[in-house]
Amino acid sequence: MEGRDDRELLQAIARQDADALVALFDRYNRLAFGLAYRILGDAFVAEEVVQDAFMSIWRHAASYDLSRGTVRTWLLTIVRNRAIDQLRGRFGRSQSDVDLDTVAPLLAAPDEWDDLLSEIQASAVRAALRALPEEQRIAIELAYFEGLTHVEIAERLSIPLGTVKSRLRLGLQKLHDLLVTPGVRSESGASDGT
Amino acid sequence: MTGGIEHDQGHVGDLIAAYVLDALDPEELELVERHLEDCPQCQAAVIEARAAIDLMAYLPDPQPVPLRARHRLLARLHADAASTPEAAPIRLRSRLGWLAAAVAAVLALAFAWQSLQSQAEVQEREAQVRELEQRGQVLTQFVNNRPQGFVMPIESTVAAPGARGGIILDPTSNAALVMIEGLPRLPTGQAYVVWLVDGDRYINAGVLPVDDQGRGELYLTPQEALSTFTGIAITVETGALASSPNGQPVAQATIGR
Repeated sequence: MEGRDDRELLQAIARQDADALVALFDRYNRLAFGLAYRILGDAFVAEEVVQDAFMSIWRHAASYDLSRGTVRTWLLTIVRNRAIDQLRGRFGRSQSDVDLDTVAPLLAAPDEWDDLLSEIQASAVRAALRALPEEQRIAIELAYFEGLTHVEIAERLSIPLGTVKSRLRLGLQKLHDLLVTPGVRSESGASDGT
Repeated sequence: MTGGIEHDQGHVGDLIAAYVLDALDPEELELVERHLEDCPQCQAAVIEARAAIDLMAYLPDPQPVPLRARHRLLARLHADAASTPEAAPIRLRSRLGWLAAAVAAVLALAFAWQSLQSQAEVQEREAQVRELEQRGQVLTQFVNNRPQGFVMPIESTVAAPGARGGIILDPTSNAALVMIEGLPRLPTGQAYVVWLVDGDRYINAGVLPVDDQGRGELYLTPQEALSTFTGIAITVETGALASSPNGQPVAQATIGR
């Protein structure tokens, strides 16, 4: 099972091979959970989001076109979108959030995610974000991790809408120049078989 | 990056960053999508912008996932398989499949019900896990001796779209276990009631106790044979002793063969 790359796993999942989905889960659950938790700040809701994302892949694997992106990118996009949906839908909810630190890391599930690759990409993204002017970084993070529209970002930061647009555009352009152009692409995953 | 495409030139370059970040308002979203249909230049800019945005997912540190998550995923896979049209003939394909599904479902739900909020509870939980593993073995034995058993998925209604679960039936001993999660919290004075359904006839099978996480289970040992019923229904009632359902239905399952 461990020998199959992501593309082969997806093909097996499309044939409703449950072992293949579990193998994909073992490979990426920590990455997916880290993203969901960063967005939601609630370990239980983050776990639900990750579960739903994997079930979505289970149900739609047969119709996914790999030319649109890697399996990993697809998974993380689903996780991000669902987490943002949860976040935006639960504003005003009573405070019942559970801090991740209180949830048993002792009972952690196995994860075969390629730590080295993950670390390279994470450090490259962090370095690129640090290289951005702070106002551009904040605008991108508010949109990506909090799901704010550019109008909401303008309100949050008390700046004109046009300024938000240009900060997002310039920030993203710089991110692209720093990350994608040198070849640190999300499609470069060793497990993706691409 | 094709950042030089400007909106005032008829392109939407100044909106593409917000577009790939899902940060546009509906009107602008429609404008951009309409423009993208016929503009290869802006389509290329979107692809480039997405490549950068996709990398944002790697910014957070990977986090350990509670072990129960893997159990729960397995349980959901089995439940999903049971609800597909192919599996609709009530009995699962093999007894082994049913065993695995039943044990996984019980364990997964039981795991999910554990609430961890302190280190002391971590230790308590470890003890509970051991107990649940034993319970799983007991259930395995229980199921193994009842080859006529089967599992049916519970389908939710629009009143509780997030509800999901199943009912494990053992006609031999005329017993069934209803397990469901994702039920909305009810106002004080209301309760979920499980009904055994035979055509127009509804038999009150009891109140479904639901915890504050929306999860409930009810063990049924009806006086009449389970085989006389075609299904179960779960409704919201103001009186636990109601003799017929008057409230909103939230879920149902077919149990007749």
